Amino acid sequence: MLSIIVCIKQVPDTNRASFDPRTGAINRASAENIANPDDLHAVELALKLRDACGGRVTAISMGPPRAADTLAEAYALGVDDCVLVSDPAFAGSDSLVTGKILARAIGKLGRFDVVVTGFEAIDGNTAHVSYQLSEFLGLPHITQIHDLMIEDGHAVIERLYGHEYQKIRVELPVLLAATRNTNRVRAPRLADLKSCTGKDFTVMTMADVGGSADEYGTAGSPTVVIGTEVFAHSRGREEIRGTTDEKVEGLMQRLKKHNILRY
Amino acid sequence: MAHNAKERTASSDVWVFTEIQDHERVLEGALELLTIGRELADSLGGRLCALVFALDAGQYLPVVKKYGPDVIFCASDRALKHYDSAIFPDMIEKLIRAHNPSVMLFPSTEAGTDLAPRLAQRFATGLTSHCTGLSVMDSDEHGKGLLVMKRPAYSGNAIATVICPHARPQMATVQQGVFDKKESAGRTVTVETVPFDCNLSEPRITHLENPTRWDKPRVPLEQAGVVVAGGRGLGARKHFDALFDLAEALGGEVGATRVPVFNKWCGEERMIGQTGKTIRPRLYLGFGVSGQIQHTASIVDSGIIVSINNDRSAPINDISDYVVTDDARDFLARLIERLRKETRPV
Ligand SMILES: Cc1cc2nc3c(=O)[nH]c(=O)nc-3n(C[C@H](O)[C@H](O)[C@H](O)COP(=O)(O)OP(=O)(O)OC[C@H]3O[C@@H](n4cnc5c(N)ncnc54)[C@H](O)[C@@H]3O)c2cc1C
Ligand SMILES: Nc1ncnc2c1ncn2[C@@H]1O[C@H](COP(=O)(O)O)[C@@H](O)[C@H]1O
Repeated sequence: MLSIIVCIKQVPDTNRASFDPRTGAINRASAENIANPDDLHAVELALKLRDACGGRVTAISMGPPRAADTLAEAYALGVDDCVLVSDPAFAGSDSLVTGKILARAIGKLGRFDVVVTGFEAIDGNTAHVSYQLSEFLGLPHITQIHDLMIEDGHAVIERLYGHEYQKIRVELPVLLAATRNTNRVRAPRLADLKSCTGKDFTVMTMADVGGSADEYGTAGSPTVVIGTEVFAHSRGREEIRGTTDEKVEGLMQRLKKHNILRY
Repeated sequence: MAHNAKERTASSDVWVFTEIQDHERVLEGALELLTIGRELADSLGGRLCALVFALDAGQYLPVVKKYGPDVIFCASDRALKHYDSAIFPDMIEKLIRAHNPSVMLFPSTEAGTDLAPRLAQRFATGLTSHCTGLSVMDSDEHGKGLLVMKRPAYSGNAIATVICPHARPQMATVQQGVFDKKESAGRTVTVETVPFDCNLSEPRITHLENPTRWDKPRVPLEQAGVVVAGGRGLGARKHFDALFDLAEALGGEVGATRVPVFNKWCGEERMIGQTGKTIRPRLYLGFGVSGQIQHTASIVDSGIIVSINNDRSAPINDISDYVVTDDARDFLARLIERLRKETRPV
């Protein structure tokens, strides 16, 4: 029986969102909130492990109350329990503090064998949290997983790391960071999605996690964003005109002029 | 605050994790970091220190020395042949505790991506990844000797400026190709040997088989002279595939925005941008690429940028030298045809 914890983050769907070309800000109305893509692979990995070895999967998400939608999706996929870690004091936490909050919350959930996370979240592409969580929890961190088996007390993992194929044995407990190459994600059934939106989940606030407000959120985060500027960079923008064939010809000429084509 | 708990006085030194790639050469990106690190150390009035950990670190020192370090910390051991997350972070943590650098730079490689967040956690300090600009500033509000880190911002077409006012070291990761490498001669270099003293008796991770090499990239995108890139506008894999014909005709490589990669029209190694490669070819041709910052920040140093997009107001057009407003699939097909005619001997 394995106790498995899977970390899921709710993110704006940056692939679909549109951006204001002048201010650079995301058009919130155009951006749906979704489960971070890598995290669906993390859920899949967790469910497969449970199905093979038996046990329970607990999904955990740190975020505002609306992150509950993402947990409902996790229920629909088949996780057993969900925990929403949410407190106004957590708003604005950078990756270090996010790792700290998740580690403390996981610590309160009791014994576990495996923690699964996504490798990176598409909203910031930092890929810090899984490593920092592994440091906070004192777990080996394994990523780029292609194949995984759990045998008594350890995992046997095949992975492509850097330019190498590796087959390794890791003592449990372990943290596994899933990517798009780790597995194929199952699709939840619509009926499951419907029946899961009302399902109960545990909420943990700062009072449950422990610690004080100055450790969390912007106050506790070592990095400070001191400004954002619109990306300003421009070039000649010469328009090549005419019919398609004339435009092809026009481009050919320019490439020759710049000595890229030499004929 | 966590970072006030153990106030340590940092030096003004700048450290570069000088990664050895495939245990055969100094990573290009590390030489680029030494180059920018030299500038930062001069601005801070500190020393530039290179960390070289390898099977035989000595063999890389002649190359590393050319890029301007004042100090090289080097460690040699069989166990350092490959990056190992049970060894490197511990050794470097000890070094940091002994010397208190102000700034630490890492390449955004598998090793750097593993090492940097772990060290940031251990020192409760900030880490900014995929930086595209690094400089130094003094501020009344935030303090002196601050590393100013620029990176594409969370929400789209913007660059965020990030600092880490209190905690040390100030840490950043940088992709290969973002900075130029430049030799800087005429400096005396102190080489400090770091003893290898890791206890490996009970590792939690063991190799069941010897690791085997599975892939070596051909011409890395970062070094290609011509890059033909495709985006969502190509519409389908079969049109994206035509880029390979164009690349062959022009003697270049195929790149992509995140969309073709997510659609599995091509592999991840072709992704250009914040989460992919940074390129600076002589010619960049973008087919059906809109030009969101996460992509364009990594192409702006290209020699010539050409955009083929059916939307005249696509943002990429503003950063292009030449703009073709047309259907990307049709234009691509005819351009290939035209090039093939051109190269056919008369
Ligand atoms: C944190 C973060 C990190 C990211 N990292 C990266 C990254 O590393 N690399 C990256 O590329 N993206 C990255 N992105 C995504 C990025 O913001 C854009 O979504 C992506 O670059 C858009 O790709 P695209 O230009 O192919 O697609 P779109 O933005 O959808 O643009 C398609 C373009 O094709 C044009 N078009 C459509 N049909 C045709 C036609 N028939 N002929 C000609 N033109 C046509 C359209 O006018 C449009 O301009 C990241 C996003 C975030 C939030
Ligand atoms: N707020 C959060 N709640 C739960 N999991 C998270 C959160 N932030 C990050 N993670 C996990 O950490 C991974 C890496 O995130 P990041 O470091 O933000 O790129 C994600 O794929 C998640 O699995």
